[in-house]
Amino acid sequence: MKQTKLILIGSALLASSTFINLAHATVIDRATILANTCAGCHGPNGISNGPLTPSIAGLPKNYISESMYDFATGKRPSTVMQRIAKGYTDADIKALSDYFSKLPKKATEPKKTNNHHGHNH
Amino acid sequence: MTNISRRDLLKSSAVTAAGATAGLTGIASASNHGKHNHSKSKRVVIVGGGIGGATAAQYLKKMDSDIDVTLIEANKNYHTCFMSNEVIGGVRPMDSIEFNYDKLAEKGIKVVFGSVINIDPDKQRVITKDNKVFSYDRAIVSPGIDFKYDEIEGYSKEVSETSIPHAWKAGPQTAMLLKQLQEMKDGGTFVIVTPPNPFRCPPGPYERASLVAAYFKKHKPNSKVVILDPKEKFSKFGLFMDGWKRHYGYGTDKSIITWIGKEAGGTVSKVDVATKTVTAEAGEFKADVLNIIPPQKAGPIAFETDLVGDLDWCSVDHKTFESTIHKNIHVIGDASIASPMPKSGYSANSQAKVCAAAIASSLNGVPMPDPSWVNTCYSIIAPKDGVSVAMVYAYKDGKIIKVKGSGGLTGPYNAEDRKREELYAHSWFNNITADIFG
Ligand SMILES: Cc1cc2nc3c(=O)[nH]c(=O)nc-3n(C[C@H](O)[C@H](O)[C@H](O)COP(=O)(O)OP(=O)(O)OC[C@H]3O[C@@H](n4cnc5c(N)ncnc54)[C@H](O)[C@@H]3O)c2cc1C
Ligand code: HEC
Repeated sequence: MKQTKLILIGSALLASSTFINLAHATVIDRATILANTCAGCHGPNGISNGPLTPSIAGLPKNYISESMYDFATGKRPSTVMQRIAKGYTDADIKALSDYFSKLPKKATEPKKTNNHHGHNH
Repeated sequence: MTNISRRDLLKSSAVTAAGATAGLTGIASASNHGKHNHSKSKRVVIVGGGIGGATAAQYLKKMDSDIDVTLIEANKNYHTCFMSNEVIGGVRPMDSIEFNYDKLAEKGIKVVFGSVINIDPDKQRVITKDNKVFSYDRAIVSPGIDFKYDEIEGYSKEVSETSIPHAWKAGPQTAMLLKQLQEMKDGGTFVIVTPPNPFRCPPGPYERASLVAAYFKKHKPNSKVVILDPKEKFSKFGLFMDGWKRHYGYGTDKSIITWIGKEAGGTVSKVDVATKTVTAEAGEFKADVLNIIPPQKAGPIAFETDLVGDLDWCSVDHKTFESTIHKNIHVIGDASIASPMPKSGYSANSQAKVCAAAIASSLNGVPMPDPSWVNTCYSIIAPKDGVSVAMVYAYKDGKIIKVKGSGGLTGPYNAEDRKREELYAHSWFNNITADIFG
């Protein structure tokens, strides 16, 4: 996946030297396309505005993928996630878990240094 | 020969280079989009700042901040249709469904208030009523719906604005219906005339009936809701029927709600405005408060620009949402034909992101990965009783398809889950509006 992306950018540059801004342009990858569909329920960038739907930004990667599989099988009970989780392939779930695990937990939260085990509110 | 400048030669060699790699990357098609491809011009003009248009503006900027995004919207404030049924049921304040474009402007989107009267597909420009002209490399049209008022004899835009609201676009229409219901005496009848398929928000009329019934049950217990329907079945049919039995005595002679479907004569042809009496196949129904939701079609600008052909809606490529009639004009949201996706806010939001990805990719000469969509529609049947219908969509053989095994309806009644689904519906409202207008 990564490799293809690099090739694409390279050949695009080759193809058209007049794309001055290409270096800044986002290449939209499949993970982003998939993740964009979750925002309606989980909030922009995986940060939920509540009252009940959880944020999913910054959750551990394995936790996200495990949740998706457990929702799909019904092992983990849910209202709607079972119906959503069944819509994705293994590769999709991997891409989604990777994507959301890398997002900051709260966009506006000031960066904390030396924060061990975070019992702060 | 002498006319060929060094610059032209350079240009053509660049195209050759593109051709050489095109087999792999699809860049050649990107060099077909005319002269703009050779400048760094990336101008996108969006017509309509509703759910589809505002989402597209946000995501285009997010994907490539160099894209020059202009959003043209007729009104300074937008009222969401979603949750407007809670406003009508008296359980949500009007100002909680009102949004503006300040945040979009802060993000560098050029927000223009005006009414688009013409789109010229050849000159690639958009013209507003006050004669402003906007040139585009790509246009996105998300105008929502218009009504076929004249399919119900006696009904008109003017009547909808003075005495019998449709309340199928939120704002003043919502306020008018709310006021009429609040002023109605106990013992009155609220009649809802519903539209034939396809229409905006398939479960919407039945959620409205439910929430007005909840209001009657609490505040005007002798009042009734009558639904006149030209259809024999509707979205979430089983869930609504079950909910109406549990909450509103449906099926008994004490029922607050009466539903008259197609076979029972629910199709309405005529209204007498002065007496608020409608004529259905089953007979005449006199209302104290009357709500007519007329048959629907794409917004007027879709017809003005001939994005519809012989149809009522705009046919589009299912991967890019580009019109099948006019190149470089994309149509999203309710106005587009994206079935199997329903005409919903979640659909419009999801389509806008895919369309933005297609345009950002194309303007940058890079291919776009396979798209993915989601739709979910929550409905509130009564306080603490929320239900949903959901679906994941993929792209296959040139079409949007439902992903097998995914999606479907809320299961059989379970008090705890239903309570949660109401709160999830409210979370969805908070999150999707943050995604669109935040
Ligand atoms: C009662 C009700 C409840 C609903 N509930 C839900 C729900 O729970 N979930 C859900 O997903 N969906 C729901 N919907 C559906 C949802 O509101 C629509 O599907 C959604 O708004 C479609 O988005 P759109 O961009 O196509 O159109 P709109 O949101 O209507 O936006 C169109 C915009 O374009 C502007 N415009 C049009 N023409 C021009 C022009 N020529 N020049 C300038 N501006 C123009 C209009 O002013 C408007 O702001 C509900 C609808 C109703 C009526
Ligand atoms: C229709 C709304 C909706 C959509 C769309 C949706 N979710 Fe969810 N999600 C929920 C709800 C509600 C829950 C709580 C469980 C439940 O009742 O379904 C949840 C729970 C989760 C959880 C568990 C979080 C935790 O803290 O344990 C994960 C992970 C998750 N969703 C991931 C996703 C991903 C990834 C997507 C996009 C592919 C997505 N969701 C799309 C509504 C949604």
